[in-house]
Amino acid sequence: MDLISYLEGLPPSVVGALYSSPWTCRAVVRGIPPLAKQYVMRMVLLDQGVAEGVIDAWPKASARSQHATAMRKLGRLQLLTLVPKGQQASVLATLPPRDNERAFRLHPEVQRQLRKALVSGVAAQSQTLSQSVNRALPSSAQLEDHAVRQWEGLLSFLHGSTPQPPLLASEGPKPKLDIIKLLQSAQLQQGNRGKRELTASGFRFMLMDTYHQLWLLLRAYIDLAKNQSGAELASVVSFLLQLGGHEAAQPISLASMQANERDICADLALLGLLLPFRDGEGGSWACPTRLAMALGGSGSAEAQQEVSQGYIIVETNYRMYAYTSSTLQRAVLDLFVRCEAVLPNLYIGTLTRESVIAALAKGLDSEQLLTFLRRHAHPRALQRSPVVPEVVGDQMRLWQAQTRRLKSDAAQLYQQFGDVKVWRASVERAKELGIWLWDHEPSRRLAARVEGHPQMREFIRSQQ
Amino acid sequence: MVTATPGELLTCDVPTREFIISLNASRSQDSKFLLEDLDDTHLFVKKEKVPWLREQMQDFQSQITFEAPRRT
Amino acid sequence: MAPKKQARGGKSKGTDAPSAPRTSGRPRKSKSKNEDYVPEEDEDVDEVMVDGEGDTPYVDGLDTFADDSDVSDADTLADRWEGGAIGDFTGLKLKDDHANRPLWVCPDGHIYLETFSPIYKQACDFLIAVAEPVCRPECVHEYNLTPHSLYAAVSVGLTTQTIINVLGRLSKAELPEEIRDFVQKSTSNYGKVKLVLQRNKFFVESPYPEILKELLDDDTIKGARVQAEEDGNGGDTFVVAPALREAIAVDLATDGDEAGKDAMEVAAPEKELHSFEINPVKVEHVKRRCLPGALDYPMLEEYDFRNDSVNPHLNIELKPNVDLRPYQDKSMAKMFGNGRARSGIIVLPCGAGKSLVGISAAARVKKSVLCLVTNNVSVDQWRHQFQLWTNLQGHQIARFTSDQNAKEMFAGASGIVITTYSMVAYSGRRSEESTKVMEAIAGREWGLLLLDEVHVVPAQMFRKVIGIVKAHCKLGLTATLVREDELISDLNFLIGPKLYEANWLDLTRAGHIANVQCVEVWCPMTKEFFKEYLRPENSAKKQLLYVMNPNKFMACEFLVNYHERMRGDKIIVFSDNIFALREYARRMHKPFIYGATGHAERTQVLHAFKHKPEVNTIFLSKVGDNSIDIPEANVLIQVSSHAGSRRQEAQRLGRILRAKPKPAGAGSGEPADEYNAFFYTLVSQDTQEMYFSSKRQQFLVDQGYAFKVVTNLLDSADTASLQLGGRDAQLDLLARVLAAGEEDAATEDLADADGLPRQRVSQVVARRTKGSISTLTGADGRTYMEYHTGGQRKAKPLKRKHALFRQRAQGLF
Repeated sequence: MDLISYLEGLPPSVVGALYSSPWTCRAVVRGIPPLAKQYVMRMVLLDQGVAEGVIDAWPKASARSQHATAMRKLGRLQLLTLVPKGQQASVLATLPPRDNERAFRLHPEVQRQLRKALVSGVAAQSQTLSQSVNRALPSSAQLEDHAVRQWEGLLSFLHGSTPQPPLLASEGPKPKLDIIKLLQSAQLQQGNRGKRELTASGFRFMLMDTYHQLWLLLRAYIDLAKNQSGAELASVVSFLLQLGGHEAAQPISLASMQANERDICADLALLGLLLPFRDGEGGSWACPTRLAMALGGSGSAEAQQEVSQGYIIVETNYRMYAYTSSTLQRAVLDLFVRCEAVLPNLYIGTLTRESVIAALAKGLDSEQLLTFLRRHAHPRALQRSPVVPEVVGDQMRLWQAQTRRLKSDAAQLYQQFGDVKVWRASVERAKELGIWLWDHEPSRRLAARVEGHPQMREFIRSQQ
Repeated sequence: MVTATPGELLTCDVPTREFIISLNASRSQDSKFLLEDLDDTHLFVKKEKVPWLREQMQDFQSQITFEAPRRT
Repeated sequence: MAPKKQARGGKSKGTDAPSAPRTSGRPRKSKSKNEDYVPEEDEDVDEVMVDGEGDTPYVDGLDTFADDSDVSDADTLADRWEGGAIGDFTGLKLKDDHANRPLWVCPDGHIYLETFSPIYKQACDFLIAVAEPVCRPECVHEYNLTPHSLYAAVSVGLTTQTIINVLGRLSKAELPEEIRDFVQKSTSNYGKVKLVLQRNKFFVESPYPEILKELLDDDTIKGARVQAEEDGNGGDTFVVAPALREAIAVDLATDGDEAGKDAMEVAAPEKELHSFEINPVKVEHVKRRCLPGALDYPMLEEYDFRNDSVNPHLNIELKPNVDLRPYQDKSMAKMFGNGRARSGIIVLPCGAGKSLVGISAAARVKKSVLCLVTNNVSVDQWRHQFQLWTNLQGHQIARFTSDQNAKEMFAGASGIVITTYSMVAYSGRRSEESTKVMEAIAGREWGLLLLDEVHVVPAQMFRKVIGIVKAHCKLGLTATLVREDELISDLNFLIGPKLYEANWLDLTRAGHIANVQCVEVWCPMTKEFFKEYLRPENSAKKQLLYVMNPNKFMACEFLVNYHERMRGDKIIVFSDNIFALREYARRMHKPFIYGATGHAERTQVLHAFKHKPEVNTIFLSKVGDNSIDIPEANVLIQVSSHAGSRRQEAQRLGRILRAKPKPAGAGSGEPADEYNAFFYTLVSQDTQEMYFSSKRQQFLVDQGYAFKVVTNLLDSADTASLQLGGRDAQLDLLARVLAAGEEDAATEDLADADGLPRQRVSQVVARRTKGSISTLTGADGRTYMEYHTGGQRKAKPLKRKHALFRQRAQGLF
């Protein structure tokens, strides 16, 4: 889950409304594929629409598939809108002109925001801070500390290695967010007091990178906020993106905010995205952490890169050395690694068939495990290619393949067809119904999904 | 007269099929689970035995897999 | 931490219980006595041992050196550590500058080394001297501190304080108190007592008379003492002599690095030496009594060869053009570190030039050398090596083997004798010439006893040999000391500590040994073979069924064709199962050698393989595992092997490790870092072979080798062009397999068609020495050589390159 796929899933009217925020526009444009970005920039200063044929001629022949993807994204996100029939006159037309050709233009609101940004810059409204605020400003170490404590606290709770969700130690308004409810509505955790457990998607969540984890949770958060307080979706989203759009350590004054925004701030502080503090005169402020910045950084490659350094080395003998002292990271590794020993800053384990198959049984996938190992590879491991030794990758896939050697379907087996024509017709019928599984002409047998049995029984009776 | 038998259709590779057949053969008359032997890659079995079968397959694979011993 | 501990403490996880084949693969056994020791299924007395006198195979009980046991030394720290299965060492205190230090030292004796540390080289040199390497892949190495490894450390001149100081300095965390104590306790007694051979008499020598007294309180030692004649009154006095000034040079310090500085501070006190004489036949008992676990004064054996004026000098020099490789130099430095010759073992991968190390040692000591090897072919090879590397003339190098023409003794006062273990240990009647040579061997003092392939020699035979031969210094050579088994402790008192062990991966990177692509080819069982495999009544035939799996045969044929025709390689196919060996070789029209093949025929086949362009593939039974030197081969295909023997796997890989400048023939122009040798293991999928195959690979995997699994070798192959592609042929073969006698089908622990005895997995000494006359004489070992069919085919390139090799060519493999 990321911003772009989240927006793609929203109804068109809702998405349109979001573009009134410059933060949203900026984050969206950052998040789309490079070719789509190019098209947006080409059109940002055009007042006319552009005929489809013209746009189609922009990319090189070799980039056809990227072009198709770009156009699909731009359409779904409504960054491109159709020019109504009546205004075809002002269209940059294909030569020679074609009949009934569609034409597009940039979403007017997006165009307006982007032009404004081009002229004056988005972050133009930088503030001058008073001495007392500057003095109270948290250090980057404090910010990092807060982010790690809250976020890892949440993940540890989700994983089950700490019994309580994290609390907010720092000052500022009390958060209203119920973390248990949040995790349950994101379908990461199930059960209740005393017996909470990770769902299959919870397991996958544990192995995701922070950016995708954030968006998955915030999506659930937005839904919760909407249901509970009827908060405007657009304002919540744009507020989130605005937080992410800020430069590091640029504080936001809570005093200038509306009540619902202040509530959001408190919740986000609980999740580790903001660190609240007070200035010398008692004014409330909040400082975004690297988690908040990741939000606005969109899904681009550089933003997806983990802020923390890679720490995992996998060896050809299936040994894993993970440079970590985080209990959470160890707990995540325990999901699919047989732990051998733990040192103050090193986790030593082995990838065994047993440990990997146990993870597969929980709903993980060998590719996800490998992606995780690659994403968190130690700088030393990054120097070699492939980062995770080929034998280990192969073996993990083979272990997975082994668990999939047997396919089973609940079925009805039809046999003893007296007439080969009836058998043949029945096979056809099963295929029509989409329930066919297997047939064999010499023995005149047929297997079909059990769900279709009533229809099949009906059909075979009618044939006899 | 066409007959319809409910059960579970298994699709698998040749050795897996042989394994399942041998498993069935090793069981006493009243606990056999194989309903029909369809072809080289398909079998028809009693539905309730399928989870057990999967377990047996796992066990079989575990027995022929060498796990590196723990650090001593 | 609380919930995590719970999760980690779980020794009793149900999942940990090993399933059936696992337990049978690695039995836990008593650590105490050899008498209790039962060899496990995958260990063998190597059949090459029967080569000696030919007709008297070694059948002397169960007392062999274990190969694969997982028994650890009685006293390792790990055994004492009670932290459960998972070591929780989070309590260690990291130093502030831990990032700059290369080691973690765990309280249970395990040590982890970062290979990317700037002082990796120094740290590695130090660790190899004080600890046992456990695994050494690319980035992080694991070592283990054991009493024996520390014994070895002391014997090369490191002091207790040096070991503790350097470990502490290299460690990222404060050195655990447990380690300090352990090193102290293990080494405080080491190096204080020496065993010295002077004028054919053995003396226990020490600068500390009180220690000698303590030793003499022990009955074994007391019983072994030879009372000097003039001293009839209880024997409390010792012979006293001034000690030689020792300049203990520790080679660690030569780089002047951080790690080594402490090592320089080795005290060289000048003291008086006290000694008493012991009975030569009781030397072994005395040494064993002194080991850790007993009196705990392990004796060092050093030979002050420069000051030995009694034994005649041998004028032996390495030829001027001989240039030792760095690791060979290092081995020499460990052995001669203080100007004397230390007894011990040097471990180098096969193909890395072990014999040159032995020969260099001989050239340093410059006294008569007795060289013990495993078989007759090897005797010839060693002789050749001596002539190749040194100035010695043929008449100075005598051979003593079962061969009628090789009952030689060198002419002058000093020289080299090369013989087999079984020739010396043989206890039956000998011929007249043989008796004469034996008397000469037993009657003199040897400067150096070279022991080749020490890991394959049965312990009983070893004892006998060492009891017969009196040598000042013993140097054992081997490629694979599979660690932490009886072998280690036995060899420790029979020969001496391990002096040096090279790192395979480092040698590969430096180009000293071939860069081998290891591949495990999964061959699905055919329907019919698998059906029979699963039948309970065929349990005795399981092995034959998976070895003869037609898909495996086709994979083998495909690979042989590919490597012969596409690359012009020289291929060895190994099959332990003789039925399969014959069947495969005959079908493919290739020559084969097995145990019963006579010496002359062996030589003839090997000669053809080396020199005839039309003989590019040979099939070998396990006779080819050791010692047969076939440097030409660069492809190895394993069809069947000996259960889970890690040692056999490593030995076999060793057959193709000799560094190759470039692939023979076709492959010229390939970049140097490409694979230039191939090691295939063909495994029948879904059978026990899978288990054995991975188990066998453990040693090499721990050395950093990666076994690529290929599941689709034949997918793109034209199976119709391969034999056994058709169902009829497969069914025909199946019928023959099912009809095969017990002998062919049975596991190879039984006396099999090799005509060679094996030991059974049971406490009963099961052996079969009877057999047909032809088996015993080797007459039924007819060799198949059909040159004409194999000839002229060469260099006819196949059009398609298999995906496996295409990939490799693109550098992805």
